[in-house]
Amino acid sequence: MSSEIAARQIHLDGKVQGVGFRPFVYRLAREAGLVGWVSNGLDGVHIRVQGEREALDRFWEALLRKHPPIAAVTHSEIREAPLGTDSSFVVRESSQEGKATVLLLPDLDLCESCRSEMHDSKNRRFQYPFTTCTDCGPRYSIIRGLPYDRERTTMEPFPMCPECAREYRDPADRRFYSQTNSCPTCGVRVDLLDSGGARLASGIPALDEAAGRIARGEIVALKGVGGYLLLVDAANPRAVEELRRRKRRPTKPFALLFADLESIRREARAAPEEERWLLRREKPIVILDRREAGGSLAPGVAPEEDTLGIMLPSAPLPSLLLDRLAGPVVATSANLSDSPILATEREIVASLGHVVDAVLSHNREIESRLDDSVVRFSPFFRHPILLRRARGFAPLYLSEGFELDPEVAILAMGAHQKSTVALAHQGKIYLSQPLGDLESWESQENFRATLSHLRRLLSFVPKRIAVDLHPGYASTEAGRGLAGEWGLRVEKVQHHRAHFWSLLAEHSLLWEREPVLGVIWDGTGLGEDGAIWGGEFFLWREGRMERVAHFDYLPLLLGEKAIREPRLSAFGLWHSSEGLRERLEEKLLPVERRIYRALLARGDFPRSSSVGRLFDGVASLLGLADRVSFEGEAARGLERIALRLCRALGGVGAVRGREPYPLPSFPSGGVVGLDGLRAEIARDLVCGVPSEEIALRFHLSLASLVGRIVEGVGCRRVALGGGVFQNGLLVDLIEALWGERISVYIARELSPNDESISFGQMVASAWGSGSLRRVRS
Amino acid sequence: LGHGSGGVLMQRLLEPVFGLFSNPVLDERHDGAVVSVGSRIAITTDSFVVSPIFFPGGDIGRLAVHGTVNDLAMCGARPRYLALGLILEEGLPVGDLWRVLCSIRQAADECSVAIVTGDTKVVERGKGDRIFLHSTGVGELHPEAAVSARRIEAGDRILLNGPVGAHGIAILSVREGVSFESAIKSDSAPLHRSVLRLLERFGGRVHFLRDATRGGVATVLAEAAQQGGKGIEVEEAQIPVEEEVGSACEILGLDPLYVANEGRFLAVVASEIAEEALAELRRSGWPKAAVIGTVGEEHPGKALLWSRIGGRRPLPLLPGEQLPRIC
Ligand SMILES: [Fe+3]
Ligand SMILES: [Mg+2]
Ligand SMILES: [Zn+2]
Ligand SMILES: [Zn+2]
Repeated sequence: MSSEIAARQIHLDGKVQGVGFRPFVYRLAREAGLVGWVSNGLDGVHIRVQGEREALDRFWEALLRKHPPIAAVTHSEIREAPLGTDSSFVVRESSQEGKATVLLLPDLDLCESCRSEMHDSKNRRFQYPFTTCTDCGPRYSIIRGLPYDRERTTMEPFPMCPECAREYRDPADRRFYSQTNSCPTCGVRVDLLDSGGARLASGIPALDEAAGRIARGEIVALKGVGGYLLLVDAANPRAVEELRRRKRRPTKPFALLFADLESIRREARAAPEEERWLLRREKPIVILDRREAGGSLAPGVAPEEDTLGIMLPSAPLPSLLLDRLAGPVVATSANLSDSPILATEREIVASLGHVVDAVLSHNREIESRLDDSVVRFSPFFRHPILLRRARGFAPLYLSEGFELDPEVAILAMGAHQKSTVALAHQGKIYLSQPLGDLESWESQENFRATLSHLRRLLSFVPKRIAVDLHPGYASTEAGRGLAGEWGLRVEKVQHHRAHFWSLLAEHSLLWEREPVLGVIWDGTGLGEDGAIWGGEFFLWREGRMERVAHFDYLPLLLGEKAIREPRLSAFGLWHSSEGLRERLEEKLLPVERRIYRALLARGDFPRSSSVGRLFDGVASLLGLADRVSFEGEAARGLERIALRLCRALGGVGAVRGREPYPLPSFPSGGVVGLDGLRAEIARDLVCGVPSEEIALRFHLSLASLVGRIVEGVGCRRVALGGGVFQNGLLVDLIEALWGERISVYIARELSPNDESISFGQMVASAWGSGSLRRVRS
Repeated sequence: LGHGSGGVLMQRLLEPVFGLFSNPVLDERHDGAVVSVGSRIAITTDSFVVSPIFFPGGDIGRLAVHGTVNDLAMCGARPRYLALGLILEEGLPVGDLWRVLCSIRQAADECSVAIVTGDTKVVERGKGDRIFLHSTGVGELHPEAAVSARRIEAGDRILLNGPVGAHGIAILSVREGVSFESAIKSDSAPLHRSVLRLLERFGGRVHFLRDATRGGVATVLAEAAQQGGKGIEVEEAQIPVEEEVGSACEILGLDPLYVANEGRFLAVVASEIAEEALAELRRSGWPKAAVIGTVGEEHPGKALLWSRIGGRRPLPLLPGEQLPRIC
């Protein structure tokens, strides 16, 4: 019998704050009959335990194995400690000492226990829209400082009432040490305001009145977790149209908020993995196939689309509101075009007072603005594709398969659109929520604010700054400014290389002995030769990334204007094709025709290898979109009609045998010429081949090219990245054609679009400084 | 090439020029000009290399006079004298040269400035582009003038004298194949008279003046904010753009705020005189003059544009090359 007494000092790091970790440790230690303490620090959780050796060992094992499921321990350390004089086990005051390395927890949806209490008329939190426990509630959106304690969150102005304080101190309670604990007596107040900000009602009557107004067809702004959402009755066509008119948003589909899975199933078809994602704790918007028949939604919700973007409530407030309504609501971010989501009453009244009829608000502040996350699934193989990695995910990123040197401190500034920042700090990675397109001042302000918030939270002092090669990106400019201030040099990472770096790290391919081909197809990014890249093939071999091929440079007539007007891409690609002359010219005014021909004849245009623009050109040629009101609209139209045909034919397997358009698989001089593809598309069109057929063959041609180039350069692994790979049909076709012979990698935890640029820049810089290490799990 | 070596040929070329610009100072034919002006003077110098040299609404000669006169005006000075340098490419038709010189003479007369000294060089074919002009101007500072970016204050208003973008589009439209339905004429014009009227009436309450030439109104706003260390906000809806210029810009994918002008200027004035200054500008030949924005303490060093659909967009200094940033 070894009943010898010993003591241990333990340090755990990772996702260990805001997840009920201290209460868990407390209960574990008490059960084991140990004495000592647990405390939150800037670098995670510190524990001191003393008791019988056996009990200590059991405690240690349980600590690592039985912790709350939302927690994650990335670093654990235990050492022998001198015996102390503790007589019981206690939760100690948090310590502000040490370096901030703890992972910032994303916001968590309402847990089941809290949900049932909220619906229990005998519970004191009946209908309370801010109920939380250690297992649920807001985190990143309300955190002002570390360590994670109430006084360093926006819950600070709400002192707990005696009853809440009792729960907080009770080790047996679910709310033991719950920093966001509150109730109707002491907590957050919900208010209904008119469009000028005057209060109309508070508490339950405010909820009732807001629901009544939505049911009557009004537009109500709702304060969500990361900002305001605009809500209207999704079944009311007039209300939906009115929202489109007032928000000046002609066609871009609206997201929908449903009360439960059953009601979603009536409007959309969700595969099992899609349902799992709908129910995940991040509560993202999931893009689902819409049911043809039986739908009760207004047509204006998602005009033209075969899909619907649907989510379940991520917080008690929207959930309580939906309980009062007969059906789903449109739930779209409240913002001015190109500006961040609005997060204060003042902003909503000042900026969108003319859009909303009423505002359902509350007096807990939002510290970090977050949009809803969005995921879609590839249509056949059901690969998840993250289109926006925001609320519920940010700013957490847990790397698998590699480790960062804790000494390296990198700030990566990201792209210009879908901007994010990435931080490598104390061996951890922090990846911000998307901070919008940095065209508007408001977005730039939010970008700066988020960056300095993260820096302050973590006491982060970068030693390296990585930026895009493009000097005109607002993020590049900001990076240069900071580098100047701190006396650092900026490291420029080419845009499409950053896309590839991101994939190489995510899939731990950096140490791969066999070469990996990176197929990076994108909108536009500045290339190293001054051209606009976007159809790139890189080879990763022996620690070097080499550009081995690219699509032929073609006219990007009038630069940025071409991006808003796919008709210009079509004209640039096919202007010399006699058979299409009429079809193309009717897209242009006579004066435009004359001038654009002159510009083309003179060679007065940027040159681009962009596959995004190729999609635009084909889409416009087929009459799908000459001008777009949102990014990717044309490409989505092309995917949609191709997918309809593909399904009608019986799926991706059924189109394998079809003839693709000619694209040279062994490009001469590394240039994939487009002459054959252009000529055959033109011929098909002149012969009256239906648009769906052309669209599908176009997809098939690109898919076929990928594998042929992979085999041409003699490798067996391909990583697909860049905005074009938000196209699920393309991903599935590549897998159908090549999946048996080639390993295909797509973004998994991250997005294929420019949100991942900062992460890729960070990886490039870390690799360059030898700060990445492989770990095998 | 004989014209450049200073001999008889040069004499032959220049003799009529002296006649054309005849005035007592020039007629002295000395190596330099001796003039007298008030106590404080403004000096400016500028080169002109526009191609083509003739365009709707003007030519390189008028530009050379207006450009220099306007730079003096923006200092708050009354332009008095010009020194003119010509670099001619061998093969330039004498008729074209004469047309340019006449135009210079006419513009100088309109502006009441005398060309008091000059120089001509001829370069080999291929070493120039038909004609380059260089002009240096001397002006007499208005006694009340105190024009400097440092004087820009929070609360000030920003005035613009007329619709923007015509000059740049006029130049583009005479390039091969790029012509528009209606001919757009350059806005090249002298600005000193309007400026002096403002100074006469409002003196030191006119804080800053700048003509919006290359880089357009947007670049001047960005520079003014940067140099003055204040925040500038302008409203897109208040900035006049002629319809034809607007649609030409739309067709070419250009932002009219970044297109060059040769007869447009911004005046940053104390808020209390803004309305009267606007009325004065409108009376002095600029009926479409407008108050386009204000100066504030927010976002120092940056100029922002309130777009028509709401929301603000920073106006960066025109980057060297316009590369698409949208992905
Ligand atoms: Fe990209
Ligand atoms: Mg000048
Ligand atoms: Zn809970
Ligand atoms: Zn309470």
